Amino acid sequence: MKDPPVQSSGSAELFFDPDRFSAAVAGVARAADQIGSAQRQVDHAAGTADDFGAVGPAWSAFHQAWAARADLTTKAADQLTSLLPVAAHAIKSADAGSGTINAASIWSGGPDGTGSDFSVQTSITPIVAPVNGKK
Amino acid sequence: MSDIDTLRAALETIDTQGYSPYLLIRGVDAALAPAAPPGDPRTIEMQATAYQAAATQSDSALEDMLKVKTSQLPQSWRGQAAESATQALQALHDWVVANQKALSTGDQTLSQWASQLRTAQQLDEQGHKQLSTMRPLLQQLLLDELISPTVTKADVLVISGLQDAAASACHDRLTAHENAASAADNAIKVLHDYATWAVDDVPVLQAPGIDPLTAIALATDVEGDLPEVTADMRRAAQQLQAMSPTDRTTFENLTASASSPLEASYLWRALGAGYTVKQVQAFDSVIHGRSDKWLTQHLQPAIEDPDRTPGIAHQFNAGTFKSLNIGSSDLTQGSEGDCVAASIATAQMSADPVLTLAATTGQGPAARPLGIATRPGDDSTSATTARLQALYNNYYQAGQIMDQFPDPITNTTNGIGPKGQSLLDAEAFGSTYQQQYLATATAREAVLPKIEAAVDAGKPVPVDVENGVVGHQMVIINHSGNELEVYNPWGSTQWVNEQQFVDSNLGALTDDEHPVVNGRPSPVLNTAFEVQLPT
Repeated sequence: MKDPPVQSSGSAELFFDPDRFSAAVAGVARAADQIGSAQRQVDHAAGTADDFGAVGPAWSAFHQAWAARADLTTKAADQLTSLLPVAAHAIKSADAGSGTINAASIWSGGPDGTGSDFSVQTSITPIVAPVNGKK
Repeated sequence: MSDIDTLRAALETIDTQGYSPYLLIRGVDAALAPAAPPGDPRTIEMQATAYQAAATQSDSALEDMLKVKTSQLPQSWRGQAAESATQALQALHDWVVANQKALSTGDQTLSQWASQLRTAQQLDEQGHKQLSTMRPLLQQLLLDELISPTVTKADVLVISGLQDAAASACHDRLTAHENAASAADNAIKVLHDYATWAVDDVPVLQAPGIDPLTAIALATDVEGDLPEVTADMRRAAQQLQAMSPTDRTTFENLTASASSPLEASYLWRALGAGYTVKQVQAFDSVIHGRSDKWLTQHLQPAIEDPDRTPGIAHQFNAGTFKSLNIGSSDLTQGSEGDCVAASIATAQMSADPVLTLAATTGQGPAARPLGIATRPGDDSTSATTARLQALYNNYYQAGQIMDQFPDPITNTTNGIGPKGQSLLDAEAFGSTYQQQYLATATAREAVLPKIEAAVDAGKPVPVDVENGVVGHQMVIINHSGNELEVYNPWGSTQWVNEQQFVDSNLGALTDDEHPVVNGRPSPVLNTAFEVQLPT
């Protein structure tokens, strides 16, 4: 049986549709796989610096730097892939239990600030000071 | 001597040998000495192909991420946590775009290098072969000459023909080596730039307590289309490396307990701004659990110009603090003559969330008595504006006291002297600054690399403009290509190009205003006559 969407009462603040969310998780997982494949393409060097002639040292530095970044990207993509189901589980658990949404503790904060009284003020008057007096 | 120098010298010997087989042999031997341009084009092409395959693979990943980010995630999940997840996905997307760009560039650069190297090696081989072929003939001629020293007309013709052929072959080798060297220089420059860009980020990305997703999502800003680690995160990583193990553990626990990645990033930025772990803890006690919206509204002045339309300033009348909609007087010098204090304090706040929190809420470790009656926690426009102006005045007066100006508390027209300027620069930006006068266009042109290096390192550069009658201070906060981003404490930011700076054509930064002096309008403030540079 499909899980129904979760919606916080009286507010559009929270909405969660488990079925559609599964598609999103699958999309992120697919992207993570492709990022991993890309990383493996650059993981091994095709030769030594000597094979690249005068460009050897520059290529070597480039390759090491970008192989490291590709590795970090893969780890981050895997991390994101694993966090999404955790968030989904937290939301479902909350929906089945007390109604408290624990997903917030995974990614986001709590209440907004209060007491704000924000309004646009009138235009300003440019002021400059004498050069000799320094600004 | 380089191979190119050797071949040039050999060519000269061949060209000037007269009719001497001996000298011609010396020239040919010298021309044969250098090895072929080194490198294996096939291996280089294989590497380029691997980069191309990785870039293509990244394309598919980007398509999937875009679909999730723009459609699947918003349709299935909304709320604060969903927003954070989308931000993380966006950051990952930006990061993959950067990887793809670097790998595509690596592919193109190496493909071109392989092709140019192969062409050079073929030309070199052709020249080498010709020289090798003529070497025994010259040897025979030399022997003949030793036996019969009389040079006949036929001998001259033979030697002359061999000389031309040797020169042509040597020239081929020289051209091959020169072309290979030039192509290598171009490839080295591109690869070096990309390697430096990536390697500079390593200390931050590998700092303890920062996981891969946090590193990607929070430690970086997108500059143009390339995400890179921000200057404050670099400073934070350096701070962390220098900490005691106890402090480091405390800080790591603090970031691990953050209720959102954005909160964690502000803890990092606070550390990068120079606060102690204890102060960062006090800062966190105010911001912990706040929403992303609240955090950006209260901790970030956001004085950048996102539009970057040439000649048009980005006005902050609709709210300089992100989306806070605080009125226009908040981050301006208002009716005070404190442009130095206002520009410096605002630039400082853009890199200091703790000071910004103090201004917007009156709370946290940077909050101090400012001589005004505002309630701690009151983040209303009126309270925020009052605190900001009090902060500017505080700086203004501290600067005037430093220069022993009369009546510093009430004097709002004398501006700031050199000692006051140095004090404020040092206090705000954490470095000793030195003033540099710019009397000529040449001086302005010469100082540009220093300005750009400073802002690239996260150090704002105060710049003074004048019209021969009055002066005004603004602050250069960013640099991209040949453009500088300048914040004006009148309430706007604008990008100008280097040529405008050099040519004294900066009037647009102050809206081409003609400041009124003694009841009369004076010329536009076009000329940058001084900058403050970190030493």
